[in-house]
Amino acid sequence: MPKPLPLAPASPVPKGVDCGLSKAHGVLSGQCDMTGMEFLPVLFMVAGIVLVAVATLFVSSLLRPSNPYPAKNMPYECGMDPAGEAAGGRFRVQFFILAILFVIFDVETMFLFPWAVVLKEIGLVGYVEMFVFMLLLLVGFAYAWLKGALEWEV
Amino acid sequence: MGGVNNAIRDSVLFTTADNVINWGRRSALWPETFGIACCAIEMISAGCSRYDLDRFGVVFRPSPRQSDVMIIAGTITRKFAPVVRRLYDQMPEPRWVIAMGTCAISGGVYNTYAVVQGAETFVPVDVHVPGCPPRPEALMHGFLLLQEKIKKSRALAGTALDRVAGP
Repeated sequence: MPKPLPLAPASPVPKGVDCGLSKAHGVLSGQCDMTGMEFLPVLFMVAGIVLVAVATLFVSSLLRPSNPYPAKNMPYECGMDPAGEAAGGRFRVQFFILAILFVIFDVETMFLFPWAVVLKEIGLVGYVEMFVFMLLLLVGFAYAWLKGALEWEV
Repeated sequence: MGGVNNAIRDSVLFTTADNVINWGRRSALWPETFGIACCAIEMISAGCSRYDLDRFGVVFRPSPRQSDVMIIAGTITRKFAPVVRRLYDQMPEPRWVIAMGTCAISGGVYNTYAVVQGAETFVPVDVHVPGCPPRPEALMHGFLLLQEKIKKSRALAGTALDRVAGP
């Protein structure tokens, strides 16, 4: 779901009047009265997807044979006993935490671009708000760093 | 086996589902790419262009997780029987087994301390294909027999719907 950008009330667009201007800047403004209705089809789509997925899982759970047992659930290694790192079942996923950190800062960058485009219009409050947002992320980053998320354990 | 429960299983809903599901199952029998001894050469030949098992929907898969059928093509030694059993265990259900060749059926000429005397001793075999080794046509005949067997089976046996219908 598109998150409304931190647009300041000091914006030149009058509240609930002009939907066209804010769109012309490539910004989905939270100031247009139509905004709530605009995303109704998205809600329907999400509801439809969830309904279809749940119905599919339910019907197939009725129709499929289900007989799990330990030998069947073992990792497949050509019929041999599993060897090596995966033999214990689970193993450390070093890249996972790095990937999570990357996604956070990737999203931050994604927000920075539209913010930079409308920077002049949103004024000082919008300018400061983005720094608050970045500060919050940096606190999280510092926490992850102190907890040793960036250490590579062999 | 109560008469009422059988009446449910013989109802239109169940028999139609049986027909449709069994049509799907017998039309796409995917065997494991799994050859133990010389019978495997005939199995490979049956899968290649001259005999072309693909036209029956028989496509070899490299993993038991994707397979429906295990063709035991060759002599099973005592050391290898646990592996065969585990590969059978790791196939999703429903699953079928074809014992191909005399060795897989009964141990054949290898009546020794090292050879298991027949796959039937440790996995449930559905179709026996005799021969030493059987020709590709014989393996095809085995697949056709297996298709007939699936056609007669109850597709919903062992499912949640079957349990709802009663014991």
